[in-house]
Amino acid sequence: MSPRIAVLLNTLGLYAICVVSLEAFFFQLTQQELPCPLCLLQRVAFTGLAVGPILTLRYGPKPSHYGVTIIAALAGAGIAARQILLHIEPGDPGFGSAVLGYHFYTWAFIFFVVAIAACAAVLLFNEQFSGQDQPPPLGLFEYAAVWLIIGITLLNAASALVECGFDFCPANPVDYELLHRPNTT
Amino acid sequence: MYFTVVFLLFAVTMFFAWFGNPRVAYMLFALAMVLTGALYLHHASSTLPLSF
Repeated sequence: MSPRIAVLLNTLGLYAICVVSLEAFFFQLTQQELPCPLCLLQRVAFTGLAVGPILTLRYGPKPSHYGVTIIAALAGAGIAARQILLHIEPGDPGFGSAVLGYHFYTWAFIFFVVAIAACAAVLLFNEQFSGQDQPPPLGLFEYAAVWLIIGITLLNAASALVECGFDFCPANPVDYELLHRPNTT
Repeated sequence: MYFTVVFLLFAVTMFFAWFGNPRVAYMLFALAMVLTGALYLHHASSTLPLSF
């Protein structure tokens, strides 16, 4: 695998993280499904997944960049697994709506495991690490991926502030804390 | 607010990964993961309906 192919795969990975994050926002805004603290932690882990590919795009493929991604994916998988186990009892309706039969945290767990497997698979190809310290020339496709994920991360920061306010998030949020106006009648 | 801090920290990490020193990006990533772990420990307080 050439460095050029490795950079392309990392860019596609960044776009995959963007799609998952935007899909979560779509359901948050259209279905009025506020993310719970564990859901927000999974979003944080998705954000962490993006650091490794950004380093690869900037400095070229290195094993440590994939290590960063694997660490974030392990954390995300652990958080998602805990939420799956919270709702594993028969008859438990789960948290939030389901997509294609699985709740978001189950899809998140699958995504994190796939990310770990993908990193392991890409690490098998040593040719990408030989020689140069600089990545191949980047184009608009790669630049757009980096700025899109940074923008989504800032959007997540703003959304979490509006939802949780200036304190810890409630376990089962039903309203945006900063938009909530107490009834004075 | 704490989630906002973690998201902003990851945004700064990405910024350093793209523009700055990768070593700083690694350190910021580690700090962000530690904060994520602390938030997880704070929120993961419900008892799991399981026995091993």
